[in-house]
Amino acid sequence: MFSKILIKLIDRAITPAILILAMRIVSVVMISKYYGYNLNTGLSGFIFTNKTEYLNVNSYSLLAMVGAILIGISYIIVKSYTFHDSHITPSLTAKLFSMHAAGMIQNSYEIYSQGIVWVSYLYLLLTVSGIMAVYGLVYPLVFYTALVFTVIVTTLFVLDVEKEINIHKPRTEDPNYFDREGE
Amino acid sequence: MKKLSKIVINSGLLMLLFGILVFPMVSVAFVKLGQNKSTVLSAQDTQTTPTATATPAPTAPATEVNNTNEVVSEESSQSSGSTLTPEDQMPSFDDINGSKSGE
Repeated sequence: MFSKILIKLIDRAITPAILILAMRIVSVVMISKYYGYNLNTGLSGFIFTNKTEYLNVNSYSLLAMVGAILIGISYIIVKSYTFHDSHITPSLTAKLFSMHAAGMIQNSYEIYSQGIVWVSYLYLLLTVSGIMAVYGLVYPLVFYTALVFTVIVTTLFVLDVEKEINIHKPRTEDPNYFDREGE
Repeated sequence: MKKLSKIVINSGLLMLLFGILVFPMVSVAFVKLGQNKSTVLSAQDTQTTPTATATPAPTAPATEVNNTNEVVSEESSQSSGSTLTPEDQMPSFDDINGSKSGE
């Protein structure tokens, strides 16, 4: 009845959402305190009267959000490159089993469902920072930083998916199978 | 029927997923550039209070001028133009009759 993939994605999306939200609030408070800005809180959120203060806090806070997402994505990328059950090395498998950490080894379904959610957050944040940079609400550097990280992360994920596809390709005994295919 | 309910449930789940994904981005709107109401009010209190009490209400002369049937003066017709009735601006029958009888 229910789509298993959608349920899985919803399940995976809740924790990053809470983390990003918490990071935003905590970073705004901490940056304001660090710079000694007067922090006015109202029903609609944090209100800054000075444009420079607003720009500083907004920009660094968005950078902190990008950082939080990058930490999560780095964890997923390490899992997908090192602890992926399709291409984990035998020695590492033995080590993990001896350390009683066999749960670290995950399949493609687990890893890519997490990866899609985190990458979606990064893309959304890139869009938001781009719009805010256009309207002068954040420094353009924030957008460029998010853009660079997004390109790197996307490339790494695409490479891993390609590797995964190559592993699951049908193999033939003949080593020259692909050379003769076009004849 | 089963297929339709499956489509409805899955589209609802999809919307829920989209809502969860977009929700943290709403937090971007928590930080705003605006005026701090408490400081602005205090500044206004110190600067503009004397002028605010000194200026009288502009509609006061209009009510005083039009009690009689005399010709309306220029000042009253300018200051209270919107409140004057046609009877106030035109001479009454008594004035016309009086001027005719005076002749």
